[in-house]
Amino acid sequence: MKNTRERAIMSRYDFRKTSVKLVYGLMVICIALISLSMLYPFVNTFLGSLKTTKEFFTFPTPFFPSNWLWENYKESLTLFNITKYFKNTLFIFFGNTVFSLTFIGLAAYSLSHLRVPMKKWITLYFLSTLLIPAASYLIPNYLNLKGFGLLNTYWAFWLPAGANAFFLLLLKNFFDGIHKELFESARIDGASELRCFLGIAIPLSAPILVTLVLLGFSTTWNDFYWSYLVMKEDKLPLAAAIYSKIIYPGSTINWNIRFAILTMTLIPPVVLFLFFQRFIIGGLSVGAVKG
Amino acid sequence: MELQLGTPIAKPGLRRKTRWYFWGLLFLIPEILIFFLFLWVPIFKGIVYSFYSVDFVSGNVFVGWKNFADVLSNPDYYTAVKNTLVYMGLAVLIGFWMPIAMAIAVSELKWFQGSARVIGYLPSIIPAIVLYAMWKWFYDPIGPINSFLNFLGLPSFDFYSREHAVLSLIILETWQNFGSATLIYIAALTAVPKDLYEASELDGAGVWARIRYITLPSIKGLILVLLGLQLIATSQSFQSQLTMTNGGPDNATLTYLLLTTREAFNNFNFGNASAMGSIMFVVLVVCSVVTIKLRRGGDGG
Amino acid sequence: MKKSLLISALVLILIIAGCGNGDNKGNRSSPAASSETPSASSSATEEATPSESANAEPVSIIAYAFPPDKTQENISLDAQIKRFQEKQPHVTITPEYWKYENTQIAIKMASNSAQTEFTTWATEARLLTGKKWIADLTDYMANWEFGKDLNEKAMEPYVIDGKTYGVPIDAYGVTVTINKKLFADKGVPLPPLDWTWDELIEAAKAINDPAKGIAGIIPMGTGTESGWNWTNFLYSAGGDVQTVADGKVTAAFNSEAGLKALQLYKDLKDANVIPKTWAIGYGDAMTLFQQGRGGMILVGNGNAADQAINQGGLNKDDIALYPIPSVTKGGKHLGIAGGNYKVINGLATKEQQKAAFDFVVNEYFTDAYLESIDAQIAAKKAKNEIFVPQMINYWNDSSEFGKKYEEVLAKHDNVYKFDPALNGLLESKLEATYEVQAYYGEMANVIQKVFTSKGDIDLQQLLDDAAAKVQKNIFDKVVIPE
Repeated sequence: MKNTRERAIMSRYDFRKTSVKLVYGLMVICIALISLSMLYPFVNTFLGSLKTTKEFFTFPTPFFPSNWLWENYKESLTLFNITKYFKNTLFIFFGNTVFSLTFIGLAAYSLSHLRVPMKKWITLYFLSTLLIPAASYLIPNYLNLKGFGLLNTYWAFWLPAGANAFFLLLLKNFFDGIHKELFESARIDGASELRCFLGIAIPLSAPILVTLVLLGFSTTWNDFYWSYLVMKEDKLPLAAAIYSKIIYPGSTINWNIRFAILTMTLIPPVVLFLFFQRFIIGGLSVGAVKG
Repeated sequence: MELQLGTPIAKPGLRRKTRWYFWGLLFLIPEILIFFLFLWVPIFKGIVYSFYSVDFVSGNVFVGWKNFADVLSNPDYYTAVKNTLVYMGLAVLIGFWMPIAMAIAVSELKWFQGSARVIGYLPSIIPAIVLYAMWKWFYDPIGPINSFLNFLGLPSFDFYSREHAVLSLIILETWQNFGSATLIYIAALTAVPKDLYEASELDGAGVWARIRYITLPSIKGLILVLLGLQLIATSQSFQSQLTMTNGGPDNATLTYLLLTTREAFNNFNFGNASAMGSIMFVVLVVCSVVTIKLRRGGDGG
Repeated sequence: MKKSLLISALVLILIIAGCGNGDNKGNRSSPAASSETPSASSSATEEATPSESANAEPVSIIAYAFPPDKTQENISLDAQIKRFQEKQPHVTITPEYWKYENTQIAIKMASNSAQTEFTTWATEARLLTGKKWIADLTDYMANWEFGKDLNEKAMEPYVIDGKTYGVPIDAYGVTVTINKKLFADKGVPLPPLDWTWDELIEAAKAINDPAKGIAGIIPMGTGTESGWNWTNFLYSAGGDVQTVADGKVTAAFNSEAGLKALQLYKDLKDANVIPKTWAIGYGDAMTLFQQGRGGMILVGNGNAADQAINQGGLNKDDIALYPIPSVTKGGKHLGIAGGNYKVINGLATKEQQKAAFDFVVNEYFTDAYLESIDAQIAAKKAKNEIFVPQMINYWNDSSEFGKKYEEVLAKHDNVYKFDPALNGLLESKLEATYEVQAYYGEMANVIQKVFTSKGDIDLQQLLDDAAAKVQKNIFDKVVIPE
């Protein structure tokens, strides 16, 4: 795979200059430092989860625990059914992805490559929602879902997931970049629009789709306030369950136990992300076709 | 092109029109419905509420422009507007170029390019509540950053002082968000034709020149889109302010949306909160329309 | 092209605004719509059919469950439900977990998804009754055999214009919790229990150690809790938050007492005995205290002790509770009083409200209650934890029941014992009633101004400005019901 990316902005030739070498070295150091700062919280959380309560609160806090207390994990599992909430999160995430990408994809394709009356108006109809602060319609939104009888069902996430102007914008921009000739020739060959969409537009947009899936995942993964309002008890996604059951104001669960739970919640997305990482690189080389 | 735009072919009949637009509309209708039901209906209920004294139990009472008058006579309102503008500006100055630079730098890496990308995205994976708790500790007067400064022989830094609080929050948010922006830029960078670099190098263009005249112009569209989105996002930010500083010290980090949520959830004044939302909506719409006009005008001239 | 975009944007807004309007008419929460909601929720639980006729009609209610880590409390609740249902089998009770938050109650009420009975705080009385979110319990109280035995002092906040809206659970007075170990480490004696403001400053200076990150005292500096903390000193100096007369609420905290209390905060700051950052909320202050990074904290009496011992791992003998200091020797030790209350959802049907009230008070003044307390203490013992009782409860301490309760506590060795001398000194005054949270919020700004100030500032000016602002924006809008 790597050999196909023969060069980027800099070529081998550039590295003969000392100044370029210096700047490049500085850049690498910067990236390394930034990477370290990104990793630090993870390490901190993990090590914190293995300390005793006392050690957790000593000042200055030792970096490594003096005893690696794996029992904290056992105790946290009795408190918190992590697999259940994790399953809920995945369920919400998969539904969101399917619904949002299907509806948004079709609409973006239509706006990019199909005949649509009043196209500008319709685009505006979608994109102007980007300008409206979510807090101003938080309550009506909630009452609206209640009105549809969607509260405490997964539909309350799946259907509104399609109403995402940001995704629509990104996808439409990407589709705009695909040559119209590709579709023209397919149409001449008698392909239906659905075939053009599924057979040409979708495969060509793999990189942006992967990005959207990732963005969608982090939204589902992060949101706690809204899902806590919409869902009850057993159907809560992980972040909301942690918020309402572990770190709610006034919680007396010990901090080392909290960190053990947090560490467990951090592992699955990291693994998932590592898995997707290959996908991204694969997708990117396809993306170069876009031109 | 003619297929595309659908230049009217001498007033097609309704049936022909339907067939002409069949696929386009078929693909669009579900999304139009979803936007209507789950975005526009709530949004306009929100606007309607801004003219009411809202009480979900004993019923709403129409009060005309009173909510707007209330909002505009509150001195905190102007503090919040000012803070939000400052915040948006600083976030662009400090945070906006970071992902672009990072994307260019990472795509130049010979080794560990994949790892750098993964690591950069990691903060987006941490649930935001956890993240704020962590940073609160990092910024603590005796937290890790200050310990490190003292270790270097430097004096402690007060991250929460009136002068620094906004900056501290911007650094935090930049840190939190730039991974996903970087991913988007990297995706765009790979699409820049490599032969352009090859050609310009042969013409004697240095690395900087290549970045300036080839890389940046080819992702200009994306940069503008993300700039717009960032401005919109920062104009609406309140989560980090709420959890880290609760608007303090002395309202130094009170943003527009934080004040809105305070009106709604602390003072139970949904009418005022909706009015604030409506004002913001109108201002943002006007700004964007002006921007679009200016940009088109600029392009024309 | 440009023009068309602008026009289309405007037209779009107008059109949809029009639709939105028409669309909304049916939905606007008119009384009709809101009276519809309770039945909607009961049909969701499927059993409640509101009927006038008999008690025997099945009713279903939702009880206020505890967070899942409070295992013992939830077990007690389940047992309590079982015992109640033996008595009244037509009532179905489902425990549900949602913890009262004043920032979430509105949305819960808007969708009618709060529990039929829930627990709330003393501060919320005016808000909840003003919005009609909780039911009037006066008639139920009159018919309840123990209605007269409740601790009147604890009931006070929920008795409004002669009507009762809440059943007290327990109550507290704010005290200063002290980490004795920090005094021992420095070899300084503890201040006397009957202490003054000056002795508070001296004590804070004595244990202060910025190099080790130890602050003498941890006044909360962010959120409404900071205003709440400071108000203790306002009370202690003889001040008041507001005065209510002729149907008008007037800000009164910019008085001489207010200035004194704010000067105290300035003195603490100038003496450098508070933490280096003002950004400390309730939780942060607790954390600092149990880490031994601060010597004193102002909270409801048992709370800091409970957390510091059971969670922070401080030794129970290292904790001492002091009253709020008096301004001068022998003066009053006046702090804020607060508490927890059971209230009944105002949106529930009459039958549900009645059933919920019966359920809430079912075990008040009974042996079953004492047994469940006994079991809770035993469970804490098994986990090597200390039980910290509340100082004020729903019963009168001198009553028969109060004595029985003391006996239960005396059976165990893991019960925290308050200094009897403290009881003699401690005096508590109820929190202000109108728009307290808004006042606390505004005071947070004032306190932050003091804590981040450099050099001299005009404290009186700060207070006057804050008072004027609260007066104009908040207090002037209060409508006091007849």
